[in-house]
Amino acid sequence: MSRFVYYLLISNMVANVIAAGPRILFSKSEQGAIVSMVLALFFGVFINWALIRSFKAFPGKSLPQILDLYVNRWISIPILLVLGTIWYIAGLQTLITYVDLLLRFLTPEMSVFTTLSMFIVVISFGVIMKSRSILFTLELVFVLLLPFAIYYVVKLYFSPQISWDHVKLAMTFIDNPPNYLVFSTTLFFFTGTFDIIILNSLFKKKMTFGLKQATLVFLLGVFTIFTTYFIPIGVLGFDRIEDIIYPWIFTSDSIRMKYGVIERVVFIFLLIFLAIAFLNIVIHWHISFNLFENVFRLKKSMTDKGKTIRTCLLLVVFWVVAFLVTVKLTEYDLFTYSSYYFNLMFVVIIGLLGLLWVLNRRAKS
Amino acid sequence: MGEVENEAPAYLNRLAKQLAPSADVVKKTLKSKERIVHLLYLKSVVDMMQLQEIIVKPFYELPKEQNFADYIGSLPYETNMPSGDEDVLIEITKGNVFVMLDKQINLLELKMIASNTVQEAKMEPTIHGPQLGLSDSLETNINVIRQRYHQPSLIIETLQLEEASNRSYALVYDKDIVRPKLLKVLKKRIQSIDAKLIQGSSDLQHHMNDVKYSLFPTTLLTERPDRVLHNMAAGKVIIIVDGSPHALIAPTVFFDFMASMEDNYYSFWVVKLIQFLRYGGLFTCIMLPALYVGITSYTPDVFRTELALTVAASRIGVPYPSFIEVFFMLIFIELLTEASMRLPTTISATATTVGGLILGTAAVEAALTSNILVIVVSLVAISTFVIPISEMNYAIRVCRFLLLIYTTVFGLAGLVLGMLGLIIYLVNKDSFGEPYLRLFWKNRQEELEADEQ
Repeated sequence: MSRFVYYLLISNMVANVIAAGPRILFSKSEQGAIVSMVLALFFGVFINWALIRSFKAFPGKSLPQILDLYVNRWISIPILLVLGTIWYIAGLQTLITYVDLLLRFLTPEMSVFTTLSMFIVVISFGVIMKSRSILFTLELVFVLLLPFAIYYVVKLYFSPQISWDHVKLAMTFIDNPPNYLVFSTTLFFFTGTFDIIILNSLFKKKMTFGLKQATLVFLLGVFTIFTTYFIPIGVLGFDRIEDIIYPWIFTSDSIRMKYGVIERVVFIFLLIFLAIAFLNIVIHWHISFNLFENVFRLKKSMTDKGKTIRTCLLLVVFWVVAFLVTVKLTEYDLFTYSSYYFNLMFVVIIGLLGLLWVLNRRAKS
Repeated sequence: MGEVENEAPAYLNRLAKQLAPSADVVKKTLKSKERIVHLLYLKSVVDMMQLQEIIVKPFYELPKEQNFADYIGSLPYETNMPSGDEDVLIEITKGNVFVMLDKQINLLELKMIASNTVQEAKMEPTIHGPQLGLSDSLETNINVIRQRYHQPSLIIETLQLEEASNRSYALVYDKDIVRPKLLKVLKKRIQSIDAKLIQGSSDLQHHMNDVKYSLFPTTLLTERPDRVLHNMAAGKVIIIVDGSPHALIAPTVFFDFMASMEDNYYSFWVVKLIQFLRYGGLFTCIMLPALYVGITSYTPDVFRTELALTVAASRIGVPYPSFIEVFFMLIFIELLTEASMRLPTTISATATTVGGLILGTAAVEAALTSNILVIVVSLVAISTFVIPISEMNYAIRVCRFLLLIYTTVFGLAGLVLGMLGLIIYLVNKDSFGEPYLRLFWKNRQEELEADEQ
């Protein structure tokens, strides 16, 4: 796999820490969370393998291009529409959660509109820029954030507040039967790779997914799941953790830097995750934008003016929907709809893999 | 011996007529018993001594059995004869001597260049490495490069700008490493420049930028021969314009602007320290003013309590919000920088002292700014100059204001988002097909090839 595919995977894994993911996991902590997470871990590696394998036959081609080659346009349009919507919601979910976080913890006196509008310029630019630039941005921001991230993780793992006893306590619930919601939520951690349905057009070299890659994905998964689930339990305790809306903010806020210029780690957390959330939204919306662009490709040769109008219209729709939803949605709704979304995601992933399998068969024959 | 024709040929007269009534046009006929030569040149650009030595003396001293035409033809100073009248005239204005001998016509390059001495490197001084830069003359510059790079693959293509000055310029590159596509793009870009007059490489740099409203430079202007070579050996193309002591390097990416040539001269850890300082300076000078606004006006609780109180205490008495304070001080410091750049060195020292020391202290005492802001602004001003290339320096100064505005409107989160916005802008920009900002780990060449499709 190209190194950029790992970045995509990691960005999705990390971004989920601030989204509704952890809260869903904790809500089922006594109803089979652990078994489901372990199952999802293996299944997550499997879907990554299946994805890379099915794209192996089409190096340098994105899904819309492949669909154009092997499928009638009347079949490909609904597929692209569904996928575009799914990816749009993925970005929207991160956006709403992050706006909520900012309003709650960083700038409480700001209005929702101001907070949302600070994203407009930057994210719109990110959405319409070249796909190639997205990958480079991802790498660059990761490198810039890496020192902070390492510091943060080390600080978490070695903080005196962690009670490993509570972690052990949480682990005793390993014998519950698995839960579908937890399974699909955890599986969503592994779906970062699926961004290659568009970005694959940049990966000209054939990608392999052997034992080495599988181990790496597995280890990344283990680390993410363990950190997401057990560290807050260790810091905040096992008993009432399901009642906390943003377990990760609380976890970060409970550790401090004794000698730092900034004392509360939560601010470092918020600013790191602002960058991660930004990347996540840009990637998801960029994919979604490209999928929609392929749907609304009326003629083979569109004029430049037509393209600009299409771009503007799509962006306007993106932002109008984002504004409406963000203003309307309460915290409870966000949690509920996120659960629905994760549940749906599993079906979509299976469907997408099935589609790719069919395309592979067609390509061979 | 037949009769020697006295009259200047029509062609020469026609050329001379087009140059007239300039005072420095010389139309001369050398005549001896058996031969006659017509010369046409501009005496202001032709080296008289050479003309005397090379053409006039031999003309009279050569034994008559030897053919003067052959002698002229064998001279190493010959330039290619262009086809049209117009082009011949341009060659004459460049310092060529038009020699007409019966039916044979030659152009001899006997240029006199007033300033072909190599100048001291003023803009990018280093402690080690060459202390001398380039010169005004194209030939000298090519000589400087050739002297340091002995490879048959080094190609120097001399071409001519198609605008009023008809300046010649040279594309210098190593044909083994340069990407052919880049060369094509570059040539096309230069040819498509639609400008009335180009004064030198600095203008050319401006015109080669394909975006109308651009901020960051896509080509690098340098006066250091070591930078020229360093970049050429990395597969870049150097453009040297005659009459300009700067060379243009294309394509350039962000990191080229952040490299000082001294990075190649010191030991590893020293270089790492210097680079760390440089990038630290870069981030400081972009982010610090915005950070001050974000923290004092939006989220003072980010800092630990003692520090937050110190900052707040230093702002006691300042009658307006922090962003006005920062804008006021930043504009003040920009004015100071601009003023000291434009003034002669003797006066600029006074300006800096008056501005920096006295006004700074007075502003604090008058409660127009806080003490901490004075420190912040001077830190920003100093760290701006850590960036080695001045074009980048200017661009960063503009970015600082943009980021400040974004933070003023949106707070600390706006600062981070604005910074990310700047990064994606830079990543998405490209310089002649090469991405402007990105990290290279390995298989650089492979990635570049993937880009080309």
